[in-house]
Amino acid sequence: MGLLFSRMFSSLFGNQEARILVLGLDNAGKTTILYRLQMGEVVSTIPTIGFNVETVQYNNIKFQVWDLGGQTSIRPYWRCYFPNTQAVIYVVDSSDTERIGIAKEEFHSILEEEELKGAAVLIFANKQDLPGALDDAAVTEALELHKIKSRQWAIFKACATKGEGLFEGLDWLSNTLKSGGG
Amino acid sequence: MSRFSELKHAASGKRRLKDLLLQSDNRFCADCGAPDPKWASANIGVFICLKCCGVHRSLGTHISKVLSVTLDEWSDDEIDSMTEVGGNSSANAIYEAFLPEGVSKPGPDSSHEERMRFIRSKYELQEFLKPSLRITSGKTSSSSLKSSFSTKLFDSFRIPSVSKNSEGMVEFIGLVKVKVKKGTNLAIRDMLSSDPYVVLALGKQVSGICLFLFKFSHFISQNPWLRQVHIMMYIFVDHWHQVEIFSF
Repeated sequence: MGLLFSRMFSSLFGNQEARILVLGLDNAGKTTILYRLQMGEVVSTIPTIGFNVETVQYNNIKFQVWDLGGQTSIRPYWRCYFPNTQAVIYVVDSSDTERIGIAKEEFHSILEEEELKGAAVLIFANKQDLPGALDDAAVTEALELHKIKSRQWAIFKACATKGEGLFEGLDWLSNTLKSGGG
Repeated sequence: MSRFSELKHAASGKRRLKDLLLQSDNRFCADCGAPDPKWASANIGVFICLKCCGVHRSLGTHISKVLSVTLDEWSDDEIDSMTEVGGNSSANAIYEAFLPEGVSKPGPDSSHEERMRFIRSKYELQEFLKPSLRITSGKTSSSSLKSSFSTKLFDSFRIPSVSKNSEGMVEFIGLVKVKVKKGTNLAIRDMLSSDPYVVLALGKQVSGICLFLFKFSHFISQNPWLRQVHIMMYIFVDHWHQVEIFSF
């Protein structure tokens, strides 16, 4: 009750905080999205071996955004960051159709995690500018998003290097978190 | 496969990759020469440093599929494609065959912009290839098919019937084996994983069969009607490139 009250209170007075994890396969565009959201710029990235964490203030929510490395052998460490997470941003390289099946498997294994049971899920179908990129409907199908039960989720087409789609996604996320989802 | 032999298999793949990495030309980044590269572009077949890896990743997986030697799991196909290229020297012999005057390779301390410019020119635009291999569609200059191709062209395939439309069961009317004598305007990007097509034309009827270039068959059947068959081979890169037209 205390937690609920403090959440309501902070949403009224505009200092709600949310802990967000950005997950996805290596080279999906997680770090580029994080810094595009935080600084409004495209940074040149190298693979994240570990994590980046930044605060993004948007729509009266202070998002603490954790961007975790996506290389195969470091994915098992994602779970160390799961507790107290309100939302997951799952980033997909929509043009990497060869690995979309792996992206699906990782996605669904995240959803099964007990500690992320209440987390809202925002999916970015990223890299829409690249040739052969699947659109949001195709990514929805490939990730089998219809299997998601009792959880708030949404998918947005995005192109992080051009800044397209990111704030639309964040709008959805802030509205969802304010209305008590996640 | 049992769990044990699976593990053994994975270990042998890892060893092959490690052996390749230890080869002297692979001790330096293929693009900037920085020592001790730990990353690789699995489709291009080069070992690269962390900074160049950042640039490769930004090109998209249709140009370069970047993996970490230490942090990623590699499939057999990915390891095979690395070993078939044979390392940085062989790859650079192709991708840097003709470095024009005024173009110099970036060094380990070069800026991101410098690396970006060079790596895009080298792999995406393929500006430093032997002129006959450069991707320019519609060009008809001829060049010999790489010998490594022609030596591996052993396999056979079936032609689906060209006499009926494709509804219902596909009828097989025979077996054709083809010898590839030469290729024209061969685009080499992603040559290890792209799917070239063989297109068979009998009069106005055309039938397409998807085949790997390496698995081409080696001789042509004795059937008299085959003498009228024109075989065109295409390789798909961004669009179809015609490789050769055979008439028998």
